[in-house]
Amino acid sequence: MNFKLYNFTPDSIEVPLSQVLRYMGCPADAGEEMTSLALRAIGGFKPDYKACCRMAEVVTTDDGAFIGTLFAPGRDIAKNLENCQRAVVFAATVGLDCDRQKTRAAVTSQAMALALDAAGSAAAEALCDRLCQDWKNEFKKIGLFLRPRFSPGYGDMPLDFQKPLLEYLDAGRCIGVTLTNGMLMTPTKTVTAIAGLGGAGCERDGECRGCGKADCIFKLT
Amino acid sequence: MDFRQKLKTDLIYWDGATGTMLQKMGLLPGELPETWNVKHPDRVTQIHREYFEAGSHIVCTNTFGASSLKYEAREAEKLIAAGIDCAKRARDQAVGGQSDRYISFDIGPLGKMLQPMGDLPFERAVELFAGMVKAAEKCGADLIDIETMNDSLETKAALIAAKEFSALPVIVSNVYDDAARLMTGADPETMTAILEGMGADAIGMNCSLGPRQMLEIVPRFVKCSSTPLIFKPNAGMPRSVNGRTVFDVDADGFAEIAARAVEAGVRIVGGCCGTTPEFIRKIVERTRGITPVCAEPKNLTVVSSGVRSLSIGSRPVLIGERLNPTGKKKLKEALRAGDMQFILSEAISQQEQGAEVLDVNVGLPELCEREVLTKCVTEIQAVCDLPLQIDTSDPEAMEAALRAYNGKAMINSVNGKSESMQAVFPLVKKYGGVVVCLTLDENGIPETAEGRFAIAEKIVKTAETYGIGLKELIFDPLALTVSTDPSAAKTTLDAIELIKTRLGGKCILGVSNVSFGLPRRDIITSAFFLMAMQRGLDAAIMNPASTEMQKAYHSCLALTERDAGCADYIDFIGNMPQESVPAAEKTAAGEKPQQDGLKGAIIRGLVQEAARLAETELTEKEPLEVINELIVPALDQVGRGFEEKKVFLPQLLMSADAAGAAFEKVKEHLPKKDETGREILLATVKGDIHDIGKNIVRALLENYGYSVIDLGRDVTPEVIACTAAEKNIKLVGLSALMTTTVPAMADTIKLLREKAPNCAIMAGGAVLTQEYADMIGADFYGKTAMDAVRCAGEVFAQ
Repeated sequence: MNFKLYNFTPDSIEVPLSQVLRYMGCPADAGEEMTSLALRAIGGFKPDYKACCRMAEVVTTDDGAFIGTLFAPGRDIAKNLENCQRAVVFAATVGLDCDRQKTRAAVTSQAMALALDAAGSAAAEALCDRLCQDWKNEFKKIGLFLRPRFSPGYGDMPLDFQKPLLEYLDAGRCIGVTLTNGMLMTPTKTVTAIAGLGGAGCERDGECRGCGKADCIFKLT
Repeated sequence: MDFRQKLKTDLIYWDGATGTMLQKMGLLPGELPETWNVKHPDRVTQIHREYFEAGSHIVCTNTFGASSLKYEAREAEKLIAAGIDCAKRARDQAVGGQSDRYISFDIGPLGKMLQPMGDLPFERAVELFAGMVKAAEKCGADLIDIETMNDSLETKAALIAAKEFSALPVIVSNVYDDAARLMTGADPETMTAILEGMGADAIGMNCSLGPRQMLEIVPRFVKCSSTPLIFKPNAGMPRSVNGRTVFDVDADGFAEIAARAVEAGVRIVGGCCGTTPEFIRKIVERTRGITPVCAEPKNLTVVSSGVRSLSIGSRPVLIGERLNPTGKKKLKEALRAGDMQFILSEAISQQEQGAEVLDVNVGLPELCEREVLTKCVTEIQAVCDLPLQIDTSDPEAMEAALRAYNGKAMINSVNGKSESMQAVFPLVKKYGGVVVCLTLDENGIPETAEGRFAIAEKIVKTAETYGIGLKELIFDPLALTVSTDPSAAKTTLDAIELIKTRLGGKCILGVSNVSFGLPRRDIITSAFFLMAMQRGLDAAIMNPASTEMQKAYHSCLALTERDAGCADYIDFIGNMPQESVPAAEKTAAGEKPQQDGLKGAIIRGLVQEAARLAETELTEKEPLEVINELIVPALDQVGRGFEEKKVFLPQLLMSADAAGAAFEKVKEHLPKKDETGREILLATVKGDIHDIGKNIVRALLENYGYSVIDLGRDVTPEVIACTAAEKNIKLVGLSALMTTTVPAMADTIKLLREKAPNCAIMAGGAVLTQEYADMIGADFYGKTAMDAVRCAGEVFAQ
């Protein structure tokens, strides 16, 4: 794999209800009413799951890492890719319909708009989890481990890095992901990330370790 | 041979991938391909030459992304000139291949999303494309191709630029996914309507799909399009073999499917990602001897939005009339106040009530129609995917709205006056559209059906001279008031029949006019509607909320073999509001009637129940009592629960939705907005397109009786400061989600202090903290929406 495109049908990615509720700011046992709202939100937009990725050699430096010709700035990514020989750079999106339905719901029901936003986030995460799981399985066969994904905006990696990252993937052309002047992506429910690959020493699952933010409500334990 | 001439009869071979070839020659990921026109012109020329030699008639220049968004304007021009030069040299050097060789100036997407989904303004996109076209015009290309477009609106912007700054033929091809839709939602029928309407010389598909999948979509174009069809698929899907990217269809397999596509009606064939000169050579060999099939002219009357199309003719089309301020006090107020919320909810509710097209008219003497109409069209399209009918008598406003409109609009209207036709027909020709033709002229409205028919005939003849066919016209024989003229209805109905039978034209009516001055207008209007449908009416501008009209419509379909198994009728009756059911039992599906009144309904978030109970309360209580004794205490209770973490944010919002519905009812009994003097300005700052937090704050503030001016998202400091100063606002709320947009918030605050020194500023949003808010000089920091309510309370108590 040095470059690959992915298309998933809506029913091939399961959007976990518990995650939607979490992004809505509710506990898993928030009651029938919230569950029903979350379920309507999951069914309230047509996901158009697409992703593209490129794999290349990693060379870390003091202030960042090269993944092929792409330089990812920041000490945190350098640390994240320590001991990795290669890395997967990817962009994954749930498509525009979530944004469209959210805009429409914002006219008629703020609760639904919020729930759609949560469902879109959960769908994007589910898509990334699926991709990473597939890669994990694929590379395990050749004795490589996939490190947890790291996105622009994490730690000291600047958001401006979205631009070279998306250009490196030709993501505009391949999956229709573009940037606004403020470095936000459209469709808004899109994730870009880098996931390192390496042998022994890379097998540990990071799960938020290495992030300095202590009060994050989304911290994975 | 002239390209347009060749396009009339011949099968034309396009080239294969440029990017794939450049990568093979060493283009790195992320490197800008157009720079090679200057850095390695020999290599670019070689690629073009190989395609010409393989048998391509058309070679497209290496200028896909050469806009001044990616390059300095001068640099872009230089790369374009160099790119065209490479293609010219290749044409001169190529040995063998076709004798007719064309250089196509290649235009790809700008790489930024247009508003409203993204932040690139439509006219800026046109300007960027125009820059490319102007540069190319100087260098002598033979045609322009607009390709790999995944957004209908951006495609339109590029086509407008190509047409405005060049007379060259323009061929347009879009990227479809395996569900046959563009990323932004349009299907082949929709794109055909838009692109044919604007006069593209050829239309079709490229990229994304492999040849087999793309072949499946060909018949859909063949069925609806009268324009030569482009077929330029990828060589299948990319995959990796030993570290190299390969595609899963080889040249022979590709050529085989290309031949089937040509037999099915394709007229321009080539390849996209993964294809090489070898593919083109095989296609030429395999298709030699196949006689190309020319597209039959289709006599379809089609309008579209950017997502769906609607063919008029098989059954009457319902056009929602409620976005027209004539006689509508609330809409007038909303338009004057710039209250988009009201306008958008009217659009959505008409769609939910069964409208298939929405008429949009904003004609009020004190408004700048050009600006307001364009804004309404754009914003309605962001929340509603129905085709719109742009309704104005001001040609300038019409043109502005037609440009910005995503799709092929209905245009309301032209009439038989020379002046009107001179103003409107050029717009129809340029932007595409189905135009409503009123059968009146310089001498007024003819009293007879024959007279109105004669005007229709005159309009058809004049339209022809502009190159506009009968299928783009829909005639309005004018429903007049039967209470003042007893023969009014009969004349109109007779005119429908004449236009339908003698002219073969389509008819539309604003049916409601017939009943002015009569009691229970819906009854007589619906009877007239039924009679008109019986005579062949194709579309009615009407109120989709009228049960009588819906009854007539659904019955008519069932009675005229246009509703198989009466399924539509049965469905309609199943969903029809039960008039005989007492109001107390009328609650929305899933909403259980509650015992504890309006307060309980708000706390539980029951929207329709809250609205109904508010109406009941208003029969006994003063509006302010309903707000202060019921709505506000209910919200306070939910708000307290939220702060104590017993109530979750979505529940708070459901209560806000319910309180909003109740408040709407109360508002009808309240003095006008500005008399309350509690206006708050809200905006998401420049650079930020997230508005969910701001919307939540707005909903709550409105519930507490504040009148909110919502400037939307991505708003410049100037607009916020000027509006605050102009309207003498006491409190401004600013929202930002991303750390990158906090500086924009700081700039906004600075400018507000200068221009509107008396207003207080509250700031909120995911990244903000009290420290941040203090640092950038906000007066208040709101962590939650309830904090904003408290802040407003403090400011207005002073």
